[in-house]
Amino acid sequence: MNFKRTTIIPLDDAELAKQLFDAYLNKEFMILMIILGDTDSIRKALPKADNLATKSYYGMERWVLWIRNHDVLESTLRPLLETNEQDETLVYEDVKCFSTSPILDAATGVILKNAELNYLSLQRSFFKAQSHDTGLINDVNNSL
Amino acid sequence: MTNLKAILVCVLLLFSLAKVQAQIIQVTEIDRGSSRSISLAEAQIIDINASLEINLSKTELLKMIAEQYPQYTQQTALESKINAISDALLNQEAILNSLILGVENVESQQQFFDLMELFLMTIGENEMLSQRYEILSEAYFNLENHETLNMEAYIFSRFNADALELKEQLKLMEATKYNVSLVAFKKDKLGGDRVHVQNFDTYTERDYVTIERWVTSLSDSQEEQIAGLAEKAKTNEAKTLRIFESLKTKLITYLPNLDCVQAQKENLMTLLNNPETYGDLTADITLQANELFSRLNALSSMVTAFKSDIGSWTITTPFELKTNLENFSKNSKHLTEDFELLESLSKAIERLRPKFDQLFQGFEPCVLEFEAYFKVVQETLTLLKLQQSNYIVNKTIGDEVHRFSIDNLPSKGFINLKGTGSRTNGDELVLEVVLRVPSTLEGAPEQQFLLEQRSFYMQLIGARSEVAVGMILANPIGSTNPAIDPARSFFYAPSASILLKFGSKSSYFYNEFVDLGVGLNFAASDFDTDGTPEFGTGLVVTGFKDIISFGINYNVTLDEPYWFFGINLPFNLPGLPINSVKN
Repeated sequence: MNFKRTTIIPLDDAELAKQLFDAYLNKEFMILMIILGDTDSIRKALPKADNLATKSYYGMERWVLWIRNHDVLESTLRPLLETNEQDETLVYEDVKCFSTSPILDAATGVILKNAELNYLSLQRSFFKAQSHDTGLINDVNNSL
Repeated sequence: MTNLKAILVCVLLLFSLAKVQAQIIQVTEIDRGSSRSISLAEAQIIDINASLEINLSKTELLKMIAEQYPQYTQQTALESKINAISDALLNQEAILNSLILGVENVESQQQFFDLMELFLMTIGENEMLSQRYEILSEAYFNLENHETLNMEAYIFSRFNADALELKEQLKLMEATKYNVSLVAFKKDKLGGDRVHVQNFDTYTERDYVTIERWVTSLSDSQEEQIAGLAEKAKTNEAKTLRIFESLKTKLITYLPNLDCVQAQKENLMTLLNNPETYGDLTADITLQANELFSRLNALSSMVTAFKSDIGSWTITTPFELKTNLENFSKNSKHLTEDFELLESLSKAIERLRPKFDQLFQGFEPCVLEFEAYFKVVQETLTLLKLQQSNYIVNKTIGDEVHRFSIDNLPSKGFINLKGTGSRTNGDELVLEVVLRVPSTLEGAPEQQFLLEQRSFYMQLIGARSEVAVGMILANPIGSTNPAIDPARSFFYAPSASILLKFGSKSSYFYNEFVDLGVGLNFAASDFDTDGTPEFGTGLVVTGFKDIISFGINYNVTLDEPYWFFGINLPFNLPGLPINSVKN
């Protein structure tokens, strides 16, 4: 797979995985899409997510992180997902994709295992994440 | 930004409501600055002075046409696709403007994301569009120059091209084209009238009447207005169901009285079987007498059958008038002829004359009575037919009502209830979506099919005042005043009340039956029976459309408190010298 804007998180080195994840998450003005698991449908969806990540709206960068196993970054992702405003009763194991907002790093645009991963759902997830922090753009611009 | 979010929430809510209820006509009531969507699940009560915004769901409309009229399946399938694309592309210009202008303020960005969410959600709800979006996205990223090309602009342009292609296909279809109209009627106690729906017809509005909320008296202009409207109401009465029913009753009442016919039949039979006259009867006379007897029998059967037939007539179903009138006319004429022939035959035999004279004496008034009945029946039947014709004309969709194809059907229509003329609490507003199909036969009228009907009950919602006039029975409380006759417990007194009432938007039972009122009562009692009324005032509670009232007053003239009750029946009851309530 030849990805342009996707990073595959290693499964065999938990510390490296955490460092990589934190590095992307802490990047300013970046919308992260996290794809969890390794199934045929996920493998088919990854190029689509990668394609969409090449698009930028209002100067916000997009990036995709593929975490092939739910266990690798569970201790980081579980609390992150618990803060999502979409569904407070969300079960971590049922999530196969979500995005984080560019400024607050809030988890949103969640796609569950029983839903389809396609251009439409992935684009909605990216947009939801970017839309989450729209109100903060002026504040951030002023503080820079 | 907040407004846009609110709009988005409303749109989402509308989508979910539409899914649950699946109705073509969606109505929003706009009353004194606030708006309320009226779903089918709630009471269909609207404020009598409100304006209505009527939204027609093309999706549901097409679904219903496809379900009910399978001959249009192909056509509706194409139109559904076009409609789905149009719905999805509703905000394409705003989205592209946001992207092209690249305005980076918060409001602009938020608007872009809200509209994109709406667009993607609409796409996601339609399988055909979802699949197409997937193909178009894939195609976009496969373009060599996609990095310099706006993804949304590409997808919108492809969807627009799809819509144009579908429209071309629709044009080429050799199917009978249908149209759709939205019509509105007002139904009241006097019958009904058509109502103007802005964007859907060119009817002019009726008299502009605002039903006053705070009524304390009738002004001169109001009285004139009411008199004018009453005059118009008389004209409208010509179209009423009620008049039709009363004419039916009148017709049954004026149908010939069969007692007279029955008596003559018996007299004729007695004469024919009388041993004293039997020998003198010639074959001609017997034949003619039997003919007359059969005629009377036929007449009797015809009247009985006709009476039962009238009972089943309705204002909406055509009935046969010509045959009925002809039968009546023919029988009436033959009866007179048969009678005159028998009379001339019997005159030839001297011995029969006294007996026949006696018979003819009974016959003549019977025939005259029958002829008089026939005249009234003829007039009433003509009137009945006229009522039906008027009613049907009123229901007929006039040339003023626009016909639309699905493509150019306006999504919104407006009704200002104030422009619908005279109306009272409890009147009905009926909205109908009608499918209109041109006839395949040349010169024949188009066919019309009712697709959906919604009916609303008009009521002055919230607080209002009313003036009620009626008779009360007043009972002085613990009176020791020597001027008041101690033998009498109750005194009749005319009274007037100014009442505060509330109209409910959720309960028909409350509006139509309970209808509580509280207020001030003013009564002119005469406790000392000197012929000069005293003035009393106090508090009153009324219920059941002011039929029952109860309260406590103070007789200011005699310094006497009293309680009272009133029963103001909407009809006269013997032994109850109480007038009916007047509002």
